[in-house]
Amino acid sequence: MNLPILALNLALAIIVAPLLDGLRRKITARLQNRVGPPVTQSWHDILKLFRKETILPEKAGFLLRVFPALMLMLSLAMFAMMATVTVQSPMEGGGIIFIELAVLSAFVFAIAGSMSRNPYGVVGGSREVILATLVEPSIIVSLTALILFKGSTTLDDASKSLAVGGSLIVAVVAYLLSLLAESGRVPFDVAEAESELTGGAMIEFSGAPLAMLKMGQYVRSLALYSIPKFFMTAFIPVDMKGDGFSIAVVALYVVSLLLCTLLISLAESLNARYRLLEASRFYAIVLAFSSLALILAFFAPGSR
Amino acid sequence: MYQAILVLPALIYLYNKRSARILLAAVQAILLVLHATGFYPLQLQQILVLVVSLILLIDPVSNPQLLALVALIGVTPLPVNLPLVALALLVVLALSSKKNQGRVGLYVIIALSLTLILEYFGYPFAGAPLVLMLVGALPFQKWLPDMYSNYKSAGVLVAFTAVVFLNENLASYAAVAPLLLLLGALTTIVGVFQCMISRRFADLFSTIHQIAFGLLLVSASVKELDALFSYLLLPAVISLSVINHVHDSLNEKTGNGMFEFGGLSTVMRVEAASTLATYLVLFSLLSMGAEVLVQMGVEGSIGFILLGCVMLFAAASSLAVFFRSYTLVFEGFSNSSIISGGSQKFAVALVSAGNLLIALVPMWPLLAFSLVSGGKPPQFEALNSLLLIMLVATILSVVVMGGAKPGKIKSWMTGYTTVDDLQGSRGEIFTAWREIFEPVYGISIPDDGVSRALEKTSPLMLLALIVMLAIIGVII
Repeated sequence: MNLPILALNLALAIIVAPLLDGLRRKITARLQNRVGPPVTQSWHDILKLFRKETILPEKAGFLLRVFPALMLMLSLAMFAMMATVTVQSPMEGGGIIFIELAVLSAFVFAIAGSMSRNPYGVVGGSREVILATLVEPSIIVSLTALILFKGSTTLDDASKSLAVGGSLIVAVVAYLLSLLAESGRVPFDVAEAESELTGGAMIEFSGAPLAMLKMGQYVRSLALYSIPKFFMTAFIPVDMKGDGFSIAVVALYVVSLLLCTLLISLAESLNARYRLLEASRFYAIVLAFSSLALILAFFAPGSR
Repeated sequence: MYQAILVLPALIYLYNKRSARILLAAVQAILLVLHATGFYPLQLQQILVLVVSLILLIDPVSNPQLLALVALIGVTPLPVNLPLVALALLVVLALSSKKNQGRVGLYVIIALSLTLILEYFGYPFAGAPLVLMLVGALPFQKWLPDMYSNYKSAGVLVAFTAVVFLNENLASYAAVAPLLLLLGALTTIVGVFQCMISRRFADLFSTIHQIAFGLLLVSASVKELDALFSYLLLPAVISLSVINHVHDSLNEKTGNGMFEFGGLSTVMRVEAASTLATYLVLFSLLSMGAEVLVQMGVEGSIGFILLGCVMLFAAASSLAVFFRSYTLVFEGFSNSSIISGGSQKFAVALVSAGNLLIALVPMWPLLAFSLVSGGKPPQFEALNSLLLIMLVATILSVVVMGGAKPGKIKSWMTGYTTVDDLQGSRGEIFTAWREIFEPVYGISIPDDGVSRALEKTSPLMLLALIVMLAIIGVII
């Protein structure tokens, strides 16, 4: 474990994650001909919530307070095992543990919502679990396809160089589609009905626990947006020698994040909301596409 | 010799059940003592069967000892004593037809008998009927929930023994290992989707067992996964069965649903925490299996990759099962009530501590292996990292949030609609479980008509027909 890089990674996650969400909100607003909130708005919201009083429902137990912090920490752990602005990852782990932590954080979020015993919380949690159960297979399959190209489960840039090919493009597109589904934004959620849809799980939270839940979601999204970075070297040639901090790697990472944010914003602006059953059909298509990517990845020259 | 001794209680069962049970327990205890002293060495699966069977015999009321006995005699592979075993099976067959579990029992017997007969004739895949039964193929799928729903059920015992048997005799089944893998994966997936639409705890337990056995079947069929099977998955499944059993027994005794899995409440904090911890540990174990398979796939065949994906999905779904069990309580399908007395609370705390301990049992074989082999346990990367991360994150969360007291505690529920009303007005969420998952699960359910037709057929005729086909197959 490389402690200085780990500390840098965690600091980066806490600073950048709300900013990236703010950027998404800004881009979406501009695409809809609105001025939109400033990029730092999500940060202001988080800081405000930390200063606010914590009010909990009467029937809620101790775990209701613990789960938001747990969700944030699991999301941070996801981020901690990735090489973001460095070539080498700061912590041992890999793609599989990354997926497991992503799954775990989604379920912790859902269970936290249900523990409030508020019907809307249960509805929101239930919806979250349904979506997670439907979308996780796509994420698992598409990320496994990418792992095949890397020839290793580690989330760093130190492995073999990647070659551009149709199969790799299919794998990256499959992951981006899965990411779209995983993000939980439109077409799977609308801001106007936040408390009745994916935001329902958060309905009974306030103050610091709510801030932690929101921050956990931001960091989780940031970690998922970071994955394409490891495959961009196939398209943008960057020198990946050494194991420390590198400007080229930072630039590559920023491009990856911006691309993912733009993609989510575009999807959010150009689509109407799906009903849950319609969404499940979309997930089925994404899963089929991801499976195709996996098969192509296995037979592609240069994979594994 | 082994089966010959065990047939005696089966025969006595005809006249006196109590005497048969006592005699069977005594015979098993003597066999274990003989093994321990080195006079009569037994195979691993025989010892396991003996121990499990002894546990089953403790319950004097609802225990299907009869079927347990069938499994005990039938699954133990000693084809030399085939006529004797066949005689015992016929005796039990006649008895079990009068029981309420008769139909399941008959099919269990058919599958077991066929396994023995095919093994006797040297078929390459003698365990096929048994495996088909375990994954719920026709006509067994009709009774699958009954078979797997309870730790004491014959299905669980047979399935558990069968996978151990398959793993021990893997060389004989090498030719059909891919089929076993496929069936294992299919069982897991079917279990996962079934859990999504379950509305009763019995169904939910059934699917949990089914998922676990699917994974056991997968790992039992791959030589490279031997360490995973023996040191992690097998102990995990035993732990799971024991936990379910404890909850189920207590639940039956108290009769108010408070011990059912997921019965989280603000009063039963320890129980809630231990239940959650149990699921998290099981999630880690399933994840480890997935990691091993994906790693093997990266280095070898695409089959392992696909299996790894299935296992990862099963791991994710184990959390969905937990959530489902929790919401089952909340939605009112179970009348979970809160205990009041001090002694009851103490009992709950004890049970909860036991749960947590049992959940950690899968770690013990690893530790034992480590001690015996000089500190070199099988390498499972996810075990170290994932469990460590979860442990640290949980402790930190408790420490951080434990100190931060809420400013106010208010009843925000006032004025909100009830869950039932919400269900009526906003049906999307509540019906979604069934609308989404039932069609998916429906794909794997064969036509009910075939099942009905088979139900009308006499099991004895069916058995005779299958045996004849097997003999014709051998002659050809």
